[in-house]
Amino acid sequence: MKRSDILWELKEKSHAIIEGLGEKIPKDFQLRLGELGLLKSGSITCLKKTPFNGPTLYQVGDSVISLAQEVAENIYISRKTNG
Amino acid sequence: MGNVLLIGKPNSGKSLLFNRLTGLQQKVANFPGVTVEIKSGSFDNIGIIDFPGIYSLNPLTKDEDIALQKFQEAVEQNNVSGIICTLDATRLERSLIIALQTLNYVKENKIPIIFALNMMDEIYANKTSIDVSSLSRDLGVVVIPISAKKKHGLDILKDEIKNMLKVPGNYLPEKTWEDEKIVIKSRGLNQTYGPKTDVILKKQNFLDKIFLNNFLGGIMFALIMIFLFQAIFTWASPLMDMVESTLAWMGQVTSSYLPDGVLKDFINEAIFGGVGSFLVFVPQIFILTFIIGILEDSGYMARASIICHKPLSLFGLSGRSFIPYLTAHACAIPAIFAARTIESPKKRLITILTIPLMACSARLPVYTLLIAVLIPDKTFFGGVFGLQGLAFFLLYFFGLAMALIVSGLLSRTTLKDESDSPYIIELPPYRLPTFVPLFRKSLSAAWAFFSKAGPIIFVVTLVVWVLGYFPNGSGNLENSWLSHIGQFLEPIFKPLGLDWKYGVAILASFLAREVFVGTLGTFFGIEGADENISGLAESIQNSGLLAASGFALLVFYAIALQCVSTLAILKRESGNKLFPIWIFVGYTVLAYLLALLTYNLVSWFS
Repeated sequence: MKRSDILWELKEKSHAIIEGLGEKIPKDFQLRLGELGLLKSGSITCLKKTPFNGPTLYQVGDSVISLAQEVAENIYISRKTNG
Repeated sequence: MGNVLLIGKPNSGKSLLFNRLTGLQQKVANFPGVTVEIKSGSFDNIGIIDFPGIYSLNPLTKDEDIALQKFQEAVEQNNVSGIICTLDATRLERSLIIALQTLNYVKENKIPIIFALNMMDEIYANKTSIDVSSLSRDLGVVVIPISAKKKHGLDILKDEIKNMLKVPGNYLPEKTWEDEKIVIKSRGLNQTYGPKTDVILKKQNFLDKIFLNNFLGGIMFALIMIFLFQAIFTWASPLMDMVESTLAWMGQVTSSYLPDGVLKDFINEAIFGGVGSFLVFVPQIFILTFIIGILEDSGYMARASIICHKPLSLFGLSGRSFIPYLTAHACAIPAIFAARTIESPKKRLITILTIPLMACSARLPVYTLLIAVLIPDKTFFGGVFGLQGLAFFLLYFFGLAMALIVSGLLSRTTLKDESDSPYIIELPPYRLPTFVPLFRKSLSAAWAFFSKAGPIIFVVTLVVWVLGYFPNGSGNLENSWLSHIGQFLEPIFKPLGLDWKYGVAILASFLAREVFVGTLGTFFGIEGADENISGLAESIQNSGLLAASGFALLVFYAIALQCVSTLAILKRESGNKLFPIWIFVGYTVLAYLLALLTYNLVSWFS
């Protein structure tokens, strides 16, 4: 398993394990992200990147969520497979 | 006996379930932000209260906070006999989070609860299943599988609700969960008893590949927006014309029974004219609400917001600001309604603030007149390219550019410290809308406009009519109180090279921009100026209006917020009485200063 840095860099169709949320994300948003399934040790898949660094689609559990760059670059991951 | 509360996450089919249970149609969906509407209805004398959908009992946004407060108030006032928590069977893990949080809360308050596991039709259609009885046993709560859309399981749910009220002890939750472990527990329950996630998400991911495709997604987006724009602009027109002509006919019939004089003019011009000035927007609001409803219910709105988010975020706006901006080119009123779909309160406020800068249809007659006066009717390339057409395009672009500039400035200055939500959205599944509730919801939105904004518009229209009518009666605008005010204010318009007549036309048009053309028509002796633009344009050209003054007028009209209907809606949507006043003053000052700058620049160049 390869140590990576941030979710924003995860390529399309790649899977990863969430390592933690950065401190730049306010506490109440960290809580909401957790409720959306973004939990430490949870898995996440990058489904779709949009042009011009627009919001990216991720599958977490039984849902698809879209995160803007400022959020996704503050989420730390380790990759399950090389993306 | 207290009421039964209906709660659940957004897109769990909660509103449709409420409609199915009570037979009432929920008038307004969960508005993000200012207005949190709580609907009530009943069946078999059991009161049902529908709360706005919330993702969690840990509120994040203002509207979630208000919804939660109202929910807790109802519980604490001992006004609740039971709770129905709606779960989306296709998003079981996510639905269980708020469901378990609610279980903890109701156990503490000793309130009976039933889980309504909705969207089961989709589970069966996808040939997957949920082990409902084991889930119910594990949770220690009654779980009823239903489909509000297909009306399956509703009778069983109603019987359980009646039982819950008779024997509440049987429906009290048995277990509680540690807050920190709720998300993990939800995931575990979903994995053990829930449907196959990949099967459920297969169709959604396939459609997302089309609707969010880098190339095809953009084309689909443009086509859908053109369709929306056409619907508001073109399809609403015959209905709007019908409203206008019906009112005009009613005015004529009524006044034909009255002798000439103040009463006849009052009824014909003020009453029927005043009613017409807001009734005419009702068809647009209905059509807009219906189409926006289709986009919301089908799940496309969330995708459209993803496509637009990045470019608009550069100006402090959200992806969801696009629809209101597009709609505003037809009319600011339905556009302000459309802004309710923006989740972030800050971005919604900025969007609402800048919507009035778009080149709405009421600006068209003014632009048409002034362009006819100022720009030569020259065409090039065999008539394909015309100078006047270019001027129109530039005015539309000017409106959009001003809106983006003001948005960018507001988000970086005045509203810099306003709390904001980062862009995090859960993508709803693609679903076919349920048209009958949507139709009724659109009727309710039109009625809400009619009943709440209408009276304000009507009263202001009356005031301006009185000022323009007295003391000399109809057709004597030159000697009216409004004209005296215009002459008194002439020094304000003189620096723009405009005399008092233009001042009066501008003043009169502070109610509605299009009044400018008719008022100038009265002064220049052109009957029916709205339909005879070229005749009026010629008279204005012959009167020696300076080009600099003409361009200054164009800039003034492109920015000034001269629409009492918009101000009335701004008051309602912001929930702040002062808000429309300062936005009105702000845009008037900005319009005047930029018009002054334009006048001096054009004078200097020419």
